Amino acid sequence: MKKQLIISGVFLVSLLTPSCFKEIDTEPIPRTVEETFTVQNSIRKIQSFFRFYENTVLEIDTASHANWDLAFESAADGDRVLLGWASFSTGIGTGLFELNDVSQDLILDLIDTGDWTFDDPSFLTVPDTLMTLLTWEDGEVFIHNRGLSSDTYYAIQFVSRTEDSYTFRYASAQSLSQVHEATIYRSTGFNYVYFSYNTGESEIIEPPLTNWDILFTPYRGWWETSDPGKYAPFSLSGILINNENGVRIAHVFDPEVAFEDIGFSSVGQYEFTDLKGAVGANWKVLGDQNSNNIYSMDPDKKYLMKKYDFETDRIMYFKFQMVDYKLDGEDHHPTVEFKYLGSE
Amino acid sequence: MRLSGITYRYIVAAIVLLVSVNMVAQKTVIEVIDDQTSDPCMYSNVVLFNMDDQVVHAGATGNNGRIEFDLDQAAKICVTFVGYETYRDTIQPGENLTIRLKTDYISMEAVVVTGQHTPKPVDQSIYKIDVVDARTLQERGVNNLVEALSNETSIRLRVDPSTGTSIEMQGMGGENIKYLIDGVPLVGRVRGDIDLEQINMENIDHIEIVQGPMSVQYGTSAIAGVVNIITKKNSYFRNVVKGNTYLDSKGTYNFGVYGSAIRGNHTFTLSGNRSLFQGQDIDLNVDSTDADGHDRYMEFKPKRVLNGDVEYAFKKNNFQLSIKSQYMNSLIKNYSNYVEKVVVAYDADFHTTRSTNSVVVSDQLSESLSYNVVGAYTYFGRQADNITSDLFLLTHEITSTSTTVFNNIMTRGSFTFAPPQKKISFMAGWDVNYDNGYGDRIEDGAEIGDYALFVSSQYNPVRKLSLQPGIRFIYNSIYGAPIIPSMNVQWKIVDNLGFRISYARGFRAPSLKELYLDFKDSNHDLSGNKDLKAETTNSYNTSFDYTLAREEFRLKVEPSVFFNNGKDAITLIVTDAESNSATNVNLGGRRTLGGEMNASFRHMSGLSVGAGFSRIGETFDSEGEGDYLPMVFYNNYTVNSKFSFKKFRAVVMANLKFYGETPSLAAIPEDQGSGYYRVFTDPFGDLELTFTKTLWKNRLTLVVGGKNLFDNYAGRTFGYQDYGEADYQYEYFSPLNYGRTYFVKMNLRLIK
Repeated sequence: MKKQLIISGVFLVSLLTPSCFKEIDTEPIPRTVEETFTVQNSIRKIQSFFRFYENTVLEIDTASHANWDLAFESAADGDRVLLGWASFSTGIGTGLFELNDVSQDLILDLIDTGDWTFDDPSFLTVPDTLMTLLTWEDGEVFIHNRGLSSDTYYAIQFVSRTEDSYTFRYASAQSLSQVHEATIYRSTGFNYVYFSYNTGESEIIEPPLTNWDILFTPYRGWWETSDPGKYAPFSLSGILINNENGVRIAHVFDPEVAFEDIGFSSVGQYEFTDLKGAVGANWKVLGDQNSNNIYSMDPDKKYLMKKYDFETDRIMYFKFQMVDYKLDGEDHHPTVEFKYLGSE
Repeated sequence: MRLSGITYRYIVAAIVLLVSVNMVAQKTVIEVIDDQTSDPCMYSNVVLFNMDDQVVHAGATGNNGRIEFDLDQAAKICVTFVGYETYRDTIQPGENLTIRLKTDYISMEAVVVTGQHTPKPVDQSIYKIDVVDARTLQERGVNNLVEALSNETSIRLRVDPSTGTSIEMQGMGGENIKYLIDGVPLVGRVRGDIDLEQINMENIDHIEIVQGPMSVQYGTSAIAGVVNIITKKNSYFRNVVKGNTYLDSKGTYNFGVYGSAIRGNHTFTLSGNRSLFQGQDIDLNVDSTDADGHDRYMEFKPKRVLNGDVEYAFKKNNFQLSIKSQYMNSLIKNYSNYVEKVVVAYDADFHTTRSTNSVVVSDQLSESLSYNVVGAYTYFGRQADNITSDLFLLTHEITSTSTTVFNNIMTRGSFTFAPPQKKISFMAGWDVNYDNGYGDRIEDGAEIGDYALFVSSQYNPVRKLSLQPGIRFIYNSIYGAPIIPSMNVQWKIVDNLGFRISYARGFRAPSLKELYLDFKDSNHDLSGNKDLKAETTNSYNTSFDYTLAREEFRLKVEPSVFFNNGKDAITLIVTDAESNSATNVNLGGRRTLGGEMNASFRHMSGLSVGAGFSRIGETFDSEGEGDYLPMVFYNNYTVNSKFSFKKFRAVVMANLKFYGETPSLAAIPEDQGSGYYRVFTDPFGDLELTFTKTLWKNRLTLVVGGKNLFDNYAGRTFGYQDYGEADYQYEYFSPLNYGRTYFVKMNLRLIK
């Protein structure tokens, strides 16, 4: 009987062995709340993608402007194709519909006399924005000036577009007889897929669309001149937002409103926009001629940002302003002051 | 003293009466039970002989293992039953005898039901069926269905620590294998596979594994084979309670209970178990974001499975009714590493619920005619909770949830006409399946119906030859389905040499998940493919079985060969090994060719040794133009050995499985021309050792042992080709197991 009791006891004890998952988070991990971040790469040369968190802002990825020449809208119903705006590309239609008809003389003529256009990414969200390759599905051959890159001119011609891919032909002006054909496959999870003439292949330039909020980048854009309301083409370095993933910006340009006074209660007072260039480049102003600084930060340019956070399924609000432009004495490295305001 | 006349008459009458009473037959009750389990041995043959060896009584025990005789004199008794040693003794009139039959380790054969017109011993089945019996499951300390099937030569395991381990048969896996529990299809696949760790092991009687297509009997998904899980039926014990616990050195804590009671014609059964695995990190760096040494990511994820079954059964004469409800809930926890500086991790809990409710009715309407009807409804739901874990504040918040639900309604009925002493029998029936699905990750209006009629006949022109033609007519609500024929032949060439050959056509419509479900988690990125076509297969199987039986031993050898020729084979293709992105595609053609050689040796001393070798070749034609790649073969080896110390009621067992180098397919990127090429996974072996001892008059069984004794962790798949991807790697490592594991398992059994 004693033996039976022992056996039954052992059995019952084993029944009572752990019945819950082991808790793996037992000790808090220290965390600091940061107030500023500084872009480590020159925003005139490198594209730097950043993501805002409650306590910090992290650089997610970087890319050289020279790494891509064409950007293709990735969404299945998207049809937008952009010239390499980070390398200040321009383009022009030839009026020809056969790639073989394009000659170097024609390109030279166009360089001299043509009305070259560029794609300003700031206005991608504006309906009817004119992009250079807007009509290329007609089959017209375009000449692409790669801007900063060597081996500058390429002839390009659209072939086909499906919900999975884009196909086009291209040839370098240096060897127009060598026509290449490339197919660019859309990739879910990215705003754009990119192509480089150097590699002849697709390139991953931007992080997955849920993983970044703002981009510091060089780009060709329209700059408001000293004559208010008048704009001129200019090689800019500024900030673009990930509007495709729900990032929105409100301007708090009222000098009477101090950055410190902007709180979560303020967000209802401002109108948010999805304009890709909503932050743009005008948060800095040219410095005085006697100054050591090319630019000084405009103290009136303060911004509210709201974003959809994929992981937490929340709408988060931040405020930020640019407070410096130098890193170790070098320009084009903005320092941004920011603060998380709250979420809903 | 003289007795009066009356007194004398009384005495004489009493003596006569006493003598006559002694001469009148007396009721003798014989109960036949299993020596180890005390289960009744139903339908065992009991024959009584007089002292001149003439048969005076004969009969079979009933459901309770008992038989009664009116015996008027001492008799010799002989009890025989399949799988047990013959019992001989003498019995006196009026004596009640409980006979404990001992397992016959030499000639034990199981009785199978899958695809049969009537239950039959496995060696008489027209199909080649492998059986994993309850005794083996217990002696191996089997913890789940994966382990139960892992030692079969015909089966390869495919490890996925997130969605669960699944199996391959005849070079095919996933949706090509049909799983049944008592004939009811098991619904609820993730990435094409059933998570075999979700199956309630508490009340499994045995598992029947049929290789080759059984589309005529079981319809879609039965192309590679059928795994039919047969549950225990209590038809004897007034009360029975069982319990078990399992603990191992890698954080698994399981327990289960089973209870059943019989009252009159009614049987009530309850069973349930809980398995809990705490998770194992094998540092494969699948998630490489480990910061500051705080590695939370586990390749083998913490998992909890709850199972509960309740069954009511009614039995009167040959009429049987069973109403059963089965419930399963599993929770898999995915812990991620935190984002550096943010100190927030994005975790997820995956909840899966399956509820199957079934009714089974069967009866013997006449000597020749019987029927069996099954109706079942299954709910399968999967919910993903995305959790934000703040590791500074130590908070865990569910921030979003997505749900996917699938429903299946099925009915399967069959009427069997099998006149006794006739050479021919018929079975005809229907098989209806309707599936629908809805949720966040599946397209609206996803539904598919499969409605079929089937007929088969078994014809025995001579005693040793059996022919079973069959045909199935299918209407599928999405796909045009061909008529599915099959032909099985069994020939008992001589008493100890049998031969089987079969042809069957297989048909498989894509499942709702393959068509519509997008499944993404930290380990997977699986996309549905609405353009999938239905798959068809022509399958040829043949096998021999040779038995050499002597008094001391029994040797059985079973060679077999198969060839499957498939069109539009639905195959899961990994499109990006690093992110584990995959989608289902139709291969124009897929052929698998293979053979198997199994040998088993049983000695009366208690020694039992089995060895198996299988060689399977695969080739495919991606475009369906008959342009097949050269066939690539891979090998499996199994060695199973067991010694029963009968005197000590102990068993020692060692099982080895070795997997040869194995090919699989990888995709060529679309921008590189599309198509597929082969990659290979390194060979590996798996060894388990167990010791089983029964105690306390067989009420308690203790099993201790070690699993994965070769200490496997990761498997290398190599041969990836460089198509210019930025993250190109020649090889990838995937989780295989979590190292050497030691376990102890106890089974307690109380009966009345």
